[in-house]
Amino acid sequence: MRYDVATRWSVFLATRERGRRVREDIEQELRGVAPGGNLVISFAGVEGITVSFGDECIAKLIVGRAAGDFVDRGLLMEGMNEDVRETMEAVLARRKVSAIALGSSGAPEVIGETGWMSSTLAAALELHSFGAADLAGRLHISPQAANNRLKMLVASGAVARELVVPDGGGKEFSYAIVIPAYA
Amino acid sequence: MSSGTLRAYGRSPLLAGTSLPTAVSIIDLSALAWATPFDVAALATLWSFRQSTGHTPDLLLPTDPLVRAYLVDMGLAEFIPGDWGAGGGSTIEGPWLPLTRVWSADEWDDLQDEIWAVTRRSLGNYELAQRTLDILGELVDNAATHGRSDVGTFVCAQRYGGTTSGLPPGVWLGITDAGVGIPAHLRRNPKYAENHSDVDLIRLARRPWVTGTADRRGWGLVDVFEKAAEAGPSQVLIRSGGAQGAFWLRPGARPAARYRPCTPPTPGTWIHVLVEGT
Repeated sequence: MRYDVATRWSVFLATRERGRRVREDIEQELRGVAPGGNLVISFAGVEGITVSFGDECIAKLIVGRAAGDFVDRGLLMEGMNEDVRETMEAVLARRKVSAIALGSSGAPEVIGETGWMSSTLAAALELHSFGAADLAGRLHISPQAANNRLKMLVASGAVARELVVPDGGGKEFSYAIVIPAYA
Repeated sequence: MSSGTLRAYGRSPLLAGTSLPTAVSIIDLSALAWATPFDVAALATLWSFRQSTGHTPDLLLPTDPLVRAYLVDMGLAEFIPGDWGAGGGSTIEGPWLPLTRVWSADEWDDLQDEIWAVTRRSLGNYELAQRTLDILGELVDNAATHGRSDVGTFVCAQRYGGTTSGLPPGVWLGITDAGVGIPAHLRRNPKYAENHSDVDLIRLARRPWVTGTADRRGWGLVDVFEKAAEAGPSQVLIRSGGAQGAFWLRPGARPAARYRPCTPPTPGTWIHVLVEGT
């Protein structure tokens, strides 16, 4: 599913209040996305956004995901011009979160707080569908570290998380890439 | 302490710091020679504020017909009634954003498509247009959100080439409200509640994460300063409550700042931005 910001709203998005309204509208769309699916927020045609708008709209969406909102479906962005992308990078980095921007070929790129996110995303793309232990093995890190990275990866929107009951009983999380060209 | 008549004489009197009477009953523009967007927005806010308290000031119009015509073109006649005469048709180029009042942040957003088109056309340079709207957007958002009142937020913008106006060429912005003011807003945050210095609070307002709300935010003014500095040598004036901060910005350099108390206090927050040489 695609959410076209310029068509639904405006080519220049200025205020925190508008950011809140757009975020709530995006959340409404996300409710209609099936688990395992994704919503791509398109900024194609958007000339500019302010920091206040970006923070209230996108950064808070990502922070919400970090708290568990809509984690069983993906959330991605595309079509940002240089100015919009620069603003988005700034608001995400300030809140120490990351999001995923899709290039023209559909290839994902981490924006905002990067650090180990790019390498973790690359490993997740190779695994496609995996558990925390799989990622820990692929990256040669501890399960604890893998869990911490997965929390951020899920928040970024690149990966969906599902609660599963393994054969031996109990509960654990299963993860899957939800980036369109890789899903 | 003076009372009654605001003598807005000469060039850019409010921007230059003409003292406000404690209770304005007359706004005297008879000897006004020039008004920047800040002056225009501040006059509208001041008049509207007094009107909202049941004390509508009398207005003495500019005696110079050229100045009167320019103020009509700037949009002031729409908000301060008076015998402006035929008005308009000023020989000076009109503002790309005549005096506009918004009652909410949402209303400002609703105007963006139109304002973007006009700004793009007037400023020519894409990057400058974006930066200018970024700056305006943050300031109007702050005013319409934290500076809410019965008066609304006034916005005015002009680009001066420097020849007719005699002012430094550049993009001139005025954003004014009659809300609680920055110092009082920040005191709503327990962290600043005991800070009784309006000067100190204006100084703090420029820093990241400083907010009067319970939210984890407070980057609006930081970004305004960054964007203004990126666009070129700039000036920012923030007059709010009992204090004023004046800032000179250069790309890659720390802002130069000067603060002073304002007596009597400014009703609300009045902001001037000049991006020079553009």
